[in-house]
Amino acid sequence: MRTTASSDGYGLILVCHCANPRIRNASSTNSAISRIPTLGIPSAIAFVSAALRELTYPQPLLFKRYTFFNPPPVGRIYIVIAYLSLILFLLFYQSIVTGPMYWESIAYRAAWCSVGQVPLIFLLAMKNSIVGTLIGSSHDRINFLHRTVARCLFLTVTIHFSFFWSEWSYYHVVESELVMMPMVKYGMGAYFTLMWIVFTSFAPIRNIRYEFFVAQHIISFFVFITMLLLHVPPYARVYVLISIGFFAVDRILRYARLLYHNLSLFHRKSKNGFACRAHLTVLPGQATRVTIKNPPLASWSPGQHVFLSFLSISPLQSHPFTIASTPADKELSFVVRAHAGFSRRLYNRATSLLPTTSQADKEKSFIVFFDGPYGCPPTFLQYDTVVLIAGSTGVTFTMPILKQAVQSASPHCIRRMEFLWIIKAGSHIEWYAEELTRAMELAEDRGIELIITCCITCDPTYTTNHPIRPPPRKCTCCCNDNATDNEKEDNNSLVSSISSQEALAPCSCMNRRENISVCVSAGRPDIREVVDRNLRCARGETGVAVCGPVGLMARTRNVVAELSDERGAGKGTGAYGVSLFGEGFGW
Amino acid sequence: MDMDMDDGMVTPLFEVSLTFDVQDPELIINRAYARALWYTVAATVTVFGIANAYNRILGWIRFDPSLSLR
Repeated sequence: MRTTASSDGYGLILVCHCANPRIRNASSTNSAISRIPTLGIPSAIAFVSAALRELTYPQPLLFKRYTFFNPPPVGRIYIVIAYLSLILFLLFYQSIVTGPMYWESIAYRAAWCSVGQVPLIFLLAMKNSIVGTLIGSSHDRINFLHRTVARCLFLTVTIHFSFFWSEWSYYHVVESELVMMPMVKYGMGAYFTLMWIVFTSFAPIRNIRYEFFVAQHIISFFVFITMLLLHVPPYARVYVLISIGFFAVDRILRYARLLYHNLSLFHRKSKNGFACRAHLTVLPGQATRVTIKNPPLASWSPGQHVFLSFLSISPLQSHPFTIASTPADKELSFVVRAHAGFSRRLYNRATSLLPTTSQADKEKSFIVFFDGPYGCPPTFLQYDTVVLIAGSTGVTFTMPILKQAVQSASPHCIRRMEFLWIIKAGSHIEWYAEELTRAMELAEDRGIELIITCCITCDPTYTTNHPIRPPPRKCTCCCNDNATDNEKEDNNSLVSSISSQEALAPCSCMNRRENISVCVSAGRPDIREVVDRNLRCARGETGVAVCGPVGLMARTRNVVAELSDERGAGKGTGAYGVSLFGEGFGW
Repeated sequence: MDMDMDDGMVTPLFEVSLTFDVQDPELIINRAYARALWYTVAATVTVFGIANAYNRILGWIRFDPSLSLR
């Protein structure tokens, strides 16, 4: 399971994605002549872009074992500091007075600062957020701001509560306040509910069990908003009502889209009541491939995700998964690694449906609801060089980008790609062995220089480097007429090891294809070396996409920032810029 | 400011602090600070929105080739 984000800088980085003109120019000319920003506005934009990237990309990695305790990327830290500074300014500016009104002055200001933040929290929690639409970001990235605002709200509410409490204690009126003022009790109820929400939202807690977190979060929200409505005076209630309005609008939009996508009423090609049925396939490494054929979804972008809900496996639950296929595949495909909860139940159900069972094919598919797609990943077709780095199931994020680049019939700028996939066991390559070999062939046909490397980190059987070569495609030349049936079968099979590769005997016309191979190596890759060698070969801007665990993300962030700084990208050295898009595990 | 706990009477100062007067200047000022938060948020979203729109609009116009990095 994957979901959300970990990029930084948000709109700051938007300036860096000046993409579409490059695609336009690529379509109008086949020239591969390098161009760098000249003097003037383009040069200034390039300089600012490079400076912002180097400032916002790095992420300190202090704890390798307990990665939850690592600080976020520096870009996010800037945002937190900026927001906290704003709140503290609004809270204390001209609110500190001397005399008996000292406590109340600050407490009332804190009350207003608190209630003013409540709608913002709900606005940033929306899946269909107007903020995300305006700034070109997605709900999973904005969710970081949602948590930041909620924690600042907790700070201001604590000040509001503690200053009133101090005053009442000083004048010995705590008991009478509680008796005379019902709103105080409701306020305390809202405060302790907020405390619970903030506590359970910290990464180590909320990552324990997704289902539990979501359920208690929604229940806590209703309790909190009810208490708050009863606590705030009528003239401040508008902030709470706006919050409820944001929540209602988001839910209505989500349910409307859910019904439209999943009811066959709106899609004539479906026969039964529901539009989508999912097929499950067991993959090595306790993973499950979920495939929805002919989905009622016209298009989606590589890197986007949807929320899946299986009525028969986990009713009333929806879980986010990255779409591992492209619209050209005409199916929605996902790879779900079994952990606990839903993903484990899904895997167990898939194993019970192995081909050895006598169940009918229709019984092996499940009714599934999907909501989405969500996410705003950049268009990687704009870059000259693309480096895709994935750890384990993070490949579901990078694979569609690779497939889009090699499948795209329209002109694009990509000249060189490197695809790095870090996995624990060699058997995991089977998840995408076919797609990788196919991508190699398509890339060669399109003239894209493609390097695919799979690094196996925890498999003792892989001690040396092995090339995986693609199976020869079905040949229509005369020499293939003499091939035996066994050879033809071999030609259609996947090659996933040296032994099976050696068994193949491609005809002479396949010599060109023999040079295509996926390199499989043992051990962890040197991320710096991978990025650096691509930057050296780049004739234009380089795009780096990374999806994986925190350690891999942080390492890649730091490497990109370092190399951009060392090369002096955008600073008059002539070096091309490098842009990073990170999609982390977690939510 | 004090309170007589025996008869439950509240001194005028306390009454003032617990009486909500919408026309109270202090309340108006405090409310202005809550609104200032939203003005800041709106301004920030506007700036980032313009940056986003700028990038999208770039796709619709012929731009200086020098920005095209290929």
